Amino acid sequence: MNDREARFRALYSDHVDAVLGYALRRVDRPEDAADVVADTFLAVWRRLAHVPPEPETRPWLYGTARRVLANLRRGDRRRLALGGRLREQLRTAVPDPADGVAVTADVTAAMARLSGRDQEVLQLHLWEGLEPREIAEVLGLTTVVVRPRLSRARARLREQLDRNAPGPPGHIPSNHTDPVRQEQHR
Amino acid sequence: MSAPHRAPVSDEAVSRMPLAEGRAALLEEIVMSTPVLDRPTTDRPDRPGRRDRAVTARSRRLVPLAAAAAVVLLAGLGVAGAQWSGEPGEVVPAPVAPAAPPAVPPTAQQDRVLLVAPGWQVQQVDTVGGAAWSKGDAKLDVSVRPAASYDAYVADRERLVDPPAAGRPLEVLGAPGQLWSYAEDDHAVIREVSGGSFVEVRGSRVSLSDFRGLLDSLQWVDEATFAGSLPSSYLTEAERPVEVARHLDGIRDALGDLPLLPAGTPEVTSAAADPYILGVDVADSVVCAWLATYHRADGAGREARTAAQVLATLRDWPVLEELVEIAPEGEYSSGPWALADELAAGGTPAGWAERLGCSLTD
Repeated sequence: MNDREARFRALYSDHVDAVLGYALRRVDRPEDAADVVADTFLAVWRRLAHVPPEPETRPWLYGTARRVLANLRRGDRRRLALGGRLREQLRTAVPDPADGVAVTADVTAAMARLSGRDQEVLQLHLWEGLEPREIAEVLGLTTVVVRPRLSRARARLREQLDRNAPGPPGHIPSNHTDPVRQEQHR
Repeated sequence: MSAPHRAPVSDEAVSRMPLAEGRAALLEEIVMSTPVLDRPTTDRPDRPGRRDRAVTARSRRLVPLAAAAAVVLLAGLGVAGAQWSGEPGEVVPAPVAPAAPPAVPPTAQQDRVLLVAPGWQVQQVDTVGGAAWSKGDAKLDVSVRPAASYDAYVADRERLVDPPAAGRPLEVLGAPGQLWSYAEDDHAVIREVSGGSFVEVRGSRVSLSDFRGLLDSLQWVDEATFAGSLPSSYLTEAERPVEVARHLDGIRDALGDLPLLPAGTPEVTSAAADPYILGVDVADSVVCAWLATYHRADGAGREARTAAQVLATLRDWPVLEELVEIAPEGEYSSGPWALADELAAGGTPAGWAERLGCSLTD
């Protein structure tokens, strides 16, 4: 194994679950997350010299996964033969409920009432745990722009949560963590 | 695929999912079967989340992708444009549905036209009202124009048929309009004047029935709602002056004791929602202000000397570096840098206003 391959294997091992989590939190069908992971790491393998060192690696990977996901949403992705086994396993995999969720369902529901821009910056902050500097890297913006944008989005999220708390019985979605659940609410 | 509305699974939960075999198989597939495409000539980290697109620096409208190749700036040839070829993946998250019904007449608050149709993504944003969207090859272009040009536009469209005739009547955005077709898949609607302006909607590569459906999907919204529908990398109105100030601060640092702008220069602003165009606006404003000063002074005297000194620092302006980072294929920065290199080699700024496309009549 040469140095290049060794670096890629280490990078894959360190970050594959984070990229998979990023994808699973954004796709309707869990198996589609396999395509995001496959395309993202294929890009890494092809362009390993472009991957920044830690701690910038993960935001860079999220940015790449974000573009891959966008291509998938546009439906213009040429399907790769890679990731078939992962796709199969994701179709039936169920996470351990004891591991919890990235944020609670009421927060998720409140976020869904915000604009797409607010949602994306909040998702990167709350779901991926990124700081403004890292979010800026993912979105291709500067920190000067992201910091107030995140601040405003958080304020709007708080408004939504205040407006709906305490919610009427039965109106708060459950904390169901099953990624194979396919329903969606627009 | 759209973001599901459910409590999102945590990374911890992901790591415990029984996927070991799939993870390992994918790793081997990538390593074993994929040709390596790294080019060792660059070790610069790639920045994700960037777009390719083409712009003309002074046009406040983004140039459609199809026209990108035509507006490449060739350093020194006097074309102040820039090209970049995009982030195809920029997807507009579904906007929150505005409470107002679609297609109400424009008001002082609701002066933006928004298309809400599945799969259609914004491609261009005008500073006043209009925008363009695309879905595959199909494109919908909304222009908001001054009322004064309404008659000329209608007269022009009437000549699409022989003999010239009014278009088919229909309602668009809550007011009467006229519909003409350039071809089976190319249609235009002009809406009557309202509030000092009129709207034209052009649909290309769409059938007439689909075009009518898209017209029904247009609605007037306020700036905030429109901004919420844009891709994350677009700058809101509130964010633009912050970015302009940041770019100017960077230039100021590069200048040291030299003045940022010639005395009497108007404040540098940009109405661009796109970070690349905004950066071009800022750099262009400062560069052109100094080139105009040099030109007016005929290359002689203290002001001309200051202009040459300022322009000699162009290689150190962070904004020009950032433009290349945003769009590696972008060509804007190469023009100012070529000027700096010429100055460093003993040349003068003479003739560079024209070469960089600066107006000398302001």
